[in-house]
Amino acid sequence: MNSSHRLHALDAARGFALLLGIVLHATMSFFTIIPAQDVSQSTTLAVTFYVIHLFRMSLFFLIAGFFAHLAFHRRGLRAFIKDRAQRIVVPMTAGWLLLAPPTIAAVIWGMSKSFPDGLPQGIDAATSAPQGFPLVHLWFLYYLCLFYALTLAWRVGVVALFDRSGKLCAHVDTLVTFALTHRLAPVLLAAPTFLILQSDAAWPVWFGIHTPDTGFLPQLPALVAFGTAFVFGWLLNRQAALLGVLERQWSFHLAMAIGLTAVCLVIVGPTPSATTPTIVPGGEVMRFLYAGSYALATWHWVFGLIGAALRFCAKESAVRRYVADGSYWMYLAHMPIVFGLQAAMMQVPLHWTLKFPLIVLITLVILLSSYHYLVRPSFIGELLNGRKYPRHRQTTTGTVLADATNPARNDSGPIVVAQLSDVSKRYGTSTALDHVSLAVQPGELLAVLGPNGAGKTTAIGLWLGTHEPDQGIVRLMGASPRDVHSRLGVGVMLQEVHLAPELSAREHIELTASYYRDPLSIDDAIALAGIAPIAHQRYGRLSGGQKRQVQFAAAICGRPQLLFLDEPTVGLDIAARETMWRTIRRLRDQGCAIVLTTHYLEEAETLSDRVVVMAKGRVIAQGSVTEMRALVARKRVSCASVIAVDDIKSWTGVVDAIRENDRVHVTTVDAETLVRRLLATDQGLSHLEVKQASLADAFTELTREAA
Amino acid sequence: MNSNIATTSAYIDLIRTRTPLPLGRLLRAYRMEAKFEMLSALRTASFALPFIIVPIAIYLLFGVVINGDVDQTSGLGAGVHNYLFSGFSAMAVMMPGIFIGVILATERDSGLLNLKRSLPQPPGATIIAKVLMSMGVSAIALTLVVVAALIAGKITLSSTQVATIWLVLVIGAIPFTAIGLLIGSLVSASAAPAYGNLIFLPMLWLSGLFIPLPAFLKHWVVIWPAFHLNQLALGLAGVEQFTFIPPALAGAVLVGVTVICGGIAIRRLARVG
Repeated sequence: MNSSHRLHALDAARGFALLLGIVLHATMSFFTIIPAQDVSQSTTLAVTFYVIHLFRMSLFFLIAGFFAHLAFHRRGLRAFIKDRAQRIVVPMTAGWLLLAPPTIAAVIWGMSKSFPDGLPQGIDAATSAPQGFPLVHLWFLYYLCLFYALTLAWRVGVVALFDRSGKLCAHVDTLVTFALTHRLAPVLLAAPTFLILQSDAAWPVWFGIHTPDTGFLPQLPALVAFGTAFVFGWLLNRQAALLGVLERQWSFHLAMAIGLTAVCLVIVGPTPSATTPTIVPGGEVMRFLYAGSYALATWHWVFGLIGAALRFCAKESAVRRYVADGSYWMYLAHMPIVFGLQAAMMQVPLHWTLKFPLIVLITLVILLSSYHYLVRPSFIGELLNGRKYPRHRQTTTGTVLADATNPARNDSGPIVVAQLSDVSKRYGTSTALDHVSLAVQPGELLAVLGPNGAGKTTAIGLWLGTHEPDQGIVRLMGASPRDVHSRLGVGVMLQEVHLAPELSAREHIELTASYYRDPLSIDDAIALAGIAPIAHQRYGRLSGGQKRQVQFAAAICGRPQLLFLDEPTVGLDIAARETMWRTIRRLRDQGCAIVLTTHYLEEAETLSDRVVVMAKGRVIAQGSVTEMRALVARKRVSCASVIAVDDIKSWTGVVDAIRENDRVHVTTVDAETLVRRLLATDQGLSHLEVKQASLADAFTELTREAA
Repeated sequence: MNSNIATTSAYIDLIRTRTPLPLGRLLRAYRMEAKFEMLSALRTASFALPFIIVPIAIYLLFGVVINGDVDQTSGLGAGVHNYLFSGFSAMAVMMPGIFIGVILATERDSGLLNLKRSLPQPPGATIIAKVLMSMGVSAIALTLVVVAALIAGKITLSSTQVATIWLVLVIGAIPFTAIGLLIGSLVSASAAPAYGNLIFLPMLWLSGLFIPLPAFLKHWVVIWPAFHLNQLALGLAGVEQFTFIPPALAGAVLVGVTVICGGIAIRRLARVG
């Protein structure tokens, strides 16, 4: 696994930690009184909260430390500080100004709805209401800044001054490696938190590390617990190879985490005590055991989840990337929405199994859509994630409407009914069209030739507006093909279309004709396509060729000014093909422009005014049929001869020579010289034949050159 | 000079082709689309037949023959027959709507939708035609159930109440069609029946339409649109014994389902086809 994969996994884990925060806060009204006391209380949601709360912030701070070290070393001190100021300090300040008032209002609303006569006896209002300065959920950004400051101070002061040789750092690295590979890291890392919790008389045992959201004065438990995580993340990035160790240990850590969490819950109970929040049931021994299990469980969760993320989320995924990008905004903005919904819905008589998912769902819909439409494409997204993603690709696509009142006029040039100007289209990594420019004029029959995958059908899809170009301008009847009015003068016959099998041929034509202003009568369309004998049969019972004829009838029934025919004669018998050709010529003579793609070169040769040869998404040649032939002014000489083809190949003017039994086929640019030399070399030569290269030869030649 | 005149006349031709259809022809195009959608559906035996026959057959079997004495055994009185009638009727409008997804997915897979997007088909004609078709098939199926219920003589509803239920349910086909269109716009033709059943079967059994539910599932009926449609029909018809939530709420949920599912489907069809 390379390092960028690991970063994807950690990014996903950080996003996961942030999004879990939304779930966490959404559970609160179902077992606590903040922000409201729901009519449907739930022990399950209390346990959910307990488990998430156990590890979530430690997980976040570890990854934050990891990325902080990475950024610090990539960018240097000044750029790092500038970047953090922009992406942490500014969102914290602006976010607080915008988010704290509605969040606090939601809490006040919810609690006053829950307790219209004041808080019930036994609940200490001082511990449940915000006091000092309410940092709300943005406290994590404040602590992040503290950790940045402390770590940088240590890094710039102590390490730079006293550890120039790097010995201290090397010792620390050895210790980290030893602790991780021997699975001792959770015990070592849990120790400081354990000591702090054990010695804190005001420790709210069920809630673990008390959320330090009530003021700027740093609180010791949070500082120690989350600071350990941050510093360890920082150290981990010094030896990123250690992530591989975590990846292998994921199941061990998760199993330990689940076991220890179960121990904690057995000791402290599934719901918090409202009356004795700082007492562990069972006395001092239990308190000791509980604090140890709690601190240890935290670290096993953190390592287990990071390991699992590395194991399962390392492959780059567009969805995960999107969600990870969006998680920062979603976490910042979720609080007033979640609390507001909890307060609003607290008295709705729905069971919590419905109400809780509903709150989470509504919140996510609001947050995701606000992210998608307001944040990601705007300066806010740039501020939070370092870049913005324009919602519409910045291209001049066909949707750039030239004025619709002056449609087909191309400044002073000739009138064009369909135009591709420097159009490119990609599907994933493959390029279907590569800077193609093509124009169709009224009354011309343009044949588009090319092998499969040359881009013919894509070009037609773009002209008809079913595909959008990645680049370039597409115009149909002078405007965007997406505008239905552009297509009112257009008839279409596509490849591989199955019309409804239960309708008759006649009904299909009737339906298609209804889309046009002044269509042919149904009978005329039927006669023109030569399908009178099958007009009343169900479409599904027709043969392949008959189906193509019905599609042709539908294509011409609207008296189109422009007709797209994609491989129209595939599967037709000779008589049917003649009928179709006759009708196509007649339409052209009446002024209808026709774009025809075909594999049959004689079709192009017979019908077309102009030929375009495409290969690999590019136009490699265009001109009249004669010009195309002249482009490859080569001749084919065949004869029965004993001369070795390798000898012939070395003669001047010879392009290629092959042997087929006793016959030799030679392609040359100078037939006369070749024939003279052949006759002089081989007295027994017979069956001499000289041919002008056909369009097919020209075509094969051209596409081979392109490939 | 001559070529100038030719150019100008071609130019005028082009401007003419861009002029929008007159209203009459536009409406006719929508009508033809709906007409042929309906014809095609009725001629497709595997689609129309089950949706028309199954509701009346099931109603007769479970609503009349097997549970004929439910008014005495259930403790709910004679009104329970009205509830069964309305439940089976709701089922009749669910099926064509949800399974229209199969037709739509087939049309997508077969390139038909792509062809229609290439043609000057009026905007939304495919969707409007499908909604009307599913309402039409629902109306036929529903009418059969109503006739069966009146002949069996179990229900105690007035004719106005029956008519109200009929009307509400036929219009109520729209949200289910929206669900079907969403399925059809997202999955392939071969997967569409499976997805349709994945939604239809749980909704049929868990909406409390005609089967008593265990207590732990009762909370959950509110997530199924079929429950809301049934409540809307019963509420508007004034069947108070079985009106559990306000009709306005039920209606709002159905409108929400229509807007969300239909909106996503329309957006996807317009963009991806």
